[in-house]
Amino acid sequence: MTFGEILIYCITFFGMYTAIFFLFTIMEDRVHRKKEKLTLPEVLPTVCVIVPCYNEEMTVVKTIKTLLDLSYPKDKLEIIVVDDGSTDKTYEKAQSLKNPQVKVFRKKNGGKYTALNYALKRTKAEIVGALDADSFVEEDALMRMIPFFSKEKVVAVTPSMKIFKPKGFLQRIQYIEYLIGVLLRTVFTSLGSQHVTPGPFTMYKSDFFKKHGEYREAHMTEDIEMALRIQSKQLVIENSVTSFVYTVGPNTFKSLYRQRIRWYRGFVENVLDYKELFSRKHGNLGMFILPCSFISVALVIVSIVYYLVTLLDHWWHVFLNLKAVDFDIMKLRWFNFDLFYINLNAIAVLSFISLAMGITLIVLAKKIAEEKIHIKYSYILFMMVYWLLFGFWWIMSIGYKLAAKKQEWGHKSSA
Amino acid sequence: MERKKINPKKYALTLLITMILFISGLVIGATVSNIKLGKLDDLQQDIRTDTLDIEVQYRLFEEEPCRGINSTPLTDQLYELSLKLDFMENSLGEDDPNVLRLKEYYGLLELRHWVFVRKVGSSCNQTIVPILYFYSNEGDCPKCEEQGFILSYIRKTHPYINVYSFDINIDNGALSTVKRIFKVKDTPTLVVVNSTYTGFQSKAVLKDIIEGRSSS
Repeated sequence: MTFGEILIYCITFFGMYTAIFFLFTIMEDRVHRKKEKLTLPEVLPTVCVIVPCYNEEMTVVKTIKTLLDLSYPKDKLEIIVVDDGSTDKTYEKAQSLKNPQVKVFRKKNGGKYTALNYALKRTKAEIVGALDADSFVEEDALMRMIPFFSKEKVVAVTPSMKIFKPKGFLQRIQYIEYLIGVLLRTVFTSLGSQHVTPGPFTMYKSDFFKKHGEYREAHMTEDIEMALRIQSKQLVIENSVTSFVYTVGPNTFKSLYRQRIRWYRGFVENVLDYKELFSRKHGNLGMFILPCSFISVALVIVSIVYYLVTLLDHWWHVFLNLKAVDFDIMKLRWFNFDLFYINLNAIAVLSFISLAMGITLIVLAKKIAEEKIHIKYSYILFMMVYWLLFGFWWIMSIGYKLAAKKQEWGHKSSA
Repeated sequence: MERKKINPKKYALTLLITMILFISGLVIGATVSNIKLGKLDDLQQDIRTDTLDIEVQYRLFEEEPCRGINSTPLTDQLYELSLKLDFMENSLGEDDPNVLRLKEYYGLLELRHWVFVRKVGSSCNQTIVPILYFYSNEGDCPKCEEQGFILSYIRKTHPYINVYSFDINIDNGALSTVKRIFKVKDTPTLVVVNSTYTGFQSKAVLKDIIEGRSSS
């Protein structure tokens, strides 16, 4: 058996195991949700939504307007806009709204977490969250989150993130990636293992900040740090799957690349800061979900490196062969169709099963995210291209980490 | 915190289902490969029948040996078999016992055809240039792939050339005799008609050799 075959067997086995485990978890979660009936409290809590912005003059007004449109009592909802030293007209645009619910502040540039903490000091609300200036919320998103806070141990509730009106190849890839994210968040919540509380519109009990500290720099991924901090304190992160938040995905390779480098590197750095989570005490999170994250990354990186080397070697030989016949390709018969040459060996069958499971998960993700279900070719294309991009981003993130290169913010939207 | 707790039964059940699916995949793949090997056996049987058919024809026309003999369909069938064998070798691995058995049998079929073609060539004054090509795919012959590619090209551009490929590491009485007669010890080695050429032969050199042989 060659190294390539062993690698494929490992990847398919690992992929099948996690996919089946996730399917079981979703089934369990459905049963659990049906039994558990959550209701709104008699007295709604006060809520503060922080909008940290840096050079967001094009989108800040729209973001604030979607917050003002939230179906929540106006006297219980305040919006704090913090202009983190923008060099454009973000501050003026935000101020132009002149609404008693909206408070606009301007401070010296210090990074997203400083803007969030600036607002935390200026609110007395019981529930606090943030919304990036390039993200928008559905009207009932907040109201659907509130019932989860009635449980004592719940300190944070995450929304379901979607890509806003995806256009072009990169945004379509992100659209499917975010849909899978909705499914994964459902699974992780059910396993008590959420390890990222998305920046846009994750709501927290303000008591948590008082007891356990404010937002931290956290390698420019304060949302990952917050989730890991909550997990380390044995507190609970809930997920309101029907609270939809839309974000504008990066539309250029460069901006997407920089965003992912920040996310992945931030994930590694924060997990290293909270390495005590890898223990039996933290159950599914410590013994399965976090190790699986690293195993999947390792498998993707090894497979990409191996297949790129194999592919380069193959094409180099093709080149040498063609050179040997002076590139007289017209005289060569390239393709002779015969059913015999359809390679239906064990690896092909296993790959087919894995592909079918992958598509099932995407369809399920669309259902959970309340999107219309249509199987499109883009799903298959997504699966083929995504693992390449995913591996590439991870290789570069690890490279930057090893070279101790300074982190950059990248795309404006947060993790 | 209840949700965080590990449920060993769930993990074990997942493992069981994964193993069932995984093993099913392996079994289906192996079954399909065996069906393909069976098809290859059928093809071999066809070639065996065709070879015998042509030999009988040859004997029938012994008085006038060059009338009505046409070995082209058999040559094409042999070539098709070699392509399929290459495919099976890539799919199942070069050490697979079924592949090795088929390769050995294929080698003998090639030798039988080679002997026949030489006879037809000399008796009927036909321009046929048979080439024996010895290669190795055990990683000790870096130029073999390129040499094989050149021979495929030559075969397509010169229809009067028949190429017979042999894995030098497969041994049987007939092949050993041929190797001994033509002093084949290394790879790549070509035997063009009766002359042995050891080492890589470029397209231009090979063309010169063949054109020299076909005109002589």
